[in-house]
Amino acid sequence: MSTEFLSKIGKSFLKKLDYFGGVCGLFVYAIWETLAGSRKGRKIIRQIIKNQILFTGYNALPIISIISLLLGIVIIVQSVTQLIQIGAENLIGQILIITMVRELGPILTAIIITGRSGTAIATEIGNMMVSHEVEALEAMGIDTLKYIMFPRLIGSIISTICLTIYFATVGIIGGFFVASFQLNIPLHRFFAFLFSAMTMTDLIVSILKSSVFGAIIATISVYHGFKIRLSSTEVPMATTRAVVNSLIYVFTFNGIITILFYI
Amino acid sequence: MKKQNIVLKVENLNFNYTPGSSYILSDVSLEIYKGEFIIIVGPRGEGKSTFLKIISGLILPEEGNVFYDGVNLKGIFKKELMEIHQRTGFVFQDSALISNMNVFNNLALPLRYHEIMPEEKITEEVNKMITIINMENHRFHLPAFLSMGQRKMVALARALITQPETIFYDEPIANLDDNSRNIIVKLMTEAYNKGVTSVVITHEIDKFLGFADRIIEIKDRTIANIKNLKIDRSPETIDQKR
Repeated sequence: MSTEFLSKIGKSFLKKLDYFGGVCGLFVYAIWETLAGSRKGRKIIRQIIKNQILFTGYNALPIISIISLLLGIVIIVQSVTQLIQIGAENLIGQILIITMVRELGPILTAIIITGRSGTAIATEIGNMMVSHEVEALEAMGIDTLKYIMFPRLIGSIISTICLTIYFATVGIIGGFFVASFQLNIPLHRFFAFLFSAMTMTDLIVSILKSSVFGAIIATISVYHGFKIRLSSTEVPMATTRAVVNSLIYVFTFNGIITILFYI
Repeated sequence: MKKQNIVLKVENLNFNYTPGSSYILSDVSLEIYKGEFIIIVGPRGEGKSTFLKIISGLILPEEGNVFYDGVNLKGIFKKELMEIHQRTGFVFQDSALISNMNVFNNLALPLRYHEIMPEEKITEEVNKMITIINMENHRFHLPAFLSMGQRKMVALARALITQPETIFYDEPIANLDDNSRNIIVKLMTEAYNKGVTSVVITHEIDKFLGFADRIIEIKDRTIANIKNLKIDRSPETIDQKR
């Protein structure tokens, strides 16, 4: 009984290792093929990167704005009442930096991008696989890793970094509105709290996290899209797997990066 | 037939999609000569499309070898395989046009990606091809707005536009109206007359009997019969055609 249980655990671990290896292989191979391979097609690839940034980054601005603004407001509303009682209003800056820049900013941006773009990427590629478009590209001598994977990877990384910065900025603005109305904290004092709490490490960690999350979302979504073989009924299942696995990896790497930098 | 004319060689090919399961294709060997027009026939589900994808390099075999122009497709670098794909064309059974690109961009895609010519020349070539397939009014339509026949014509035009030396056709005229069928057969004939090696899976062999070189029957997972319709495939004949 116990050997059977151990065997199941072992098999499950090997399956996960195989999956991780596949995703990492796709990531490395796509970058290698594009940078070390033929220079052909760069103009088209640049255009696809721009389109990806437009979809993943620019088109996500409204939802990011709403969520970050409301989050900034809620965080300050919730914390201000407590801070006033203990006379620690100067901690407003620290709270906003921890939530908006270090932790919630990158992770919530990644969740939004997974929901919007990760699903779109997995579905699009899945449908391309079913309708033989990917095969058709290869038949034309077009490297699909270079044409499909690489632009989505780069587009997703750039968009996630920009949206995370935007998320933090809007969230801090929301926080400022509440702070100025509820606590009568003037702009210069608010920013003095903020900048005294912010370190270079916070900025580096935020950008590092967002670039890693962008890479995770794009790679996993493309991976599951490419895995579809036979029918369109596989597409929604692959999309679900792409979302679930993206989130698992995003949260795992968030933990790893936080531990590496702050412990 | 002279040996130096061989463009495609298949050696003891065995293939299955799932390792351990029974073979879809078993012990298949074949040589295809430069400039030949080959018709592949056989019952449905006998692995004809899989065979076409294997000899075109879209699927790599686990057992056996496929040589294109003397190069073994098994084990070559992806870059080299892509270079071979650039020299060949493939017309898919379901057209496989890029769904988010209009007719013009579908045709321009291989030319743009491979940077074969400047953009003005690409526009000129694509417009010329659109006129040939009689789709001037559909230039900016997405594939979803085209009929099956129109999609097949665009797929064929996309394969022809790079002027490949070999084209693989998977059921190019199946389920089409007479007009589309005639245009496609005409284009295929013209390509063949220019010396393009053509390998065609079709159930409508009568449309090609006038000029086909060989009919290959795939049955019971292997080549069951090869029927020679012509014998003169000398290099001089090929050169004259080119």
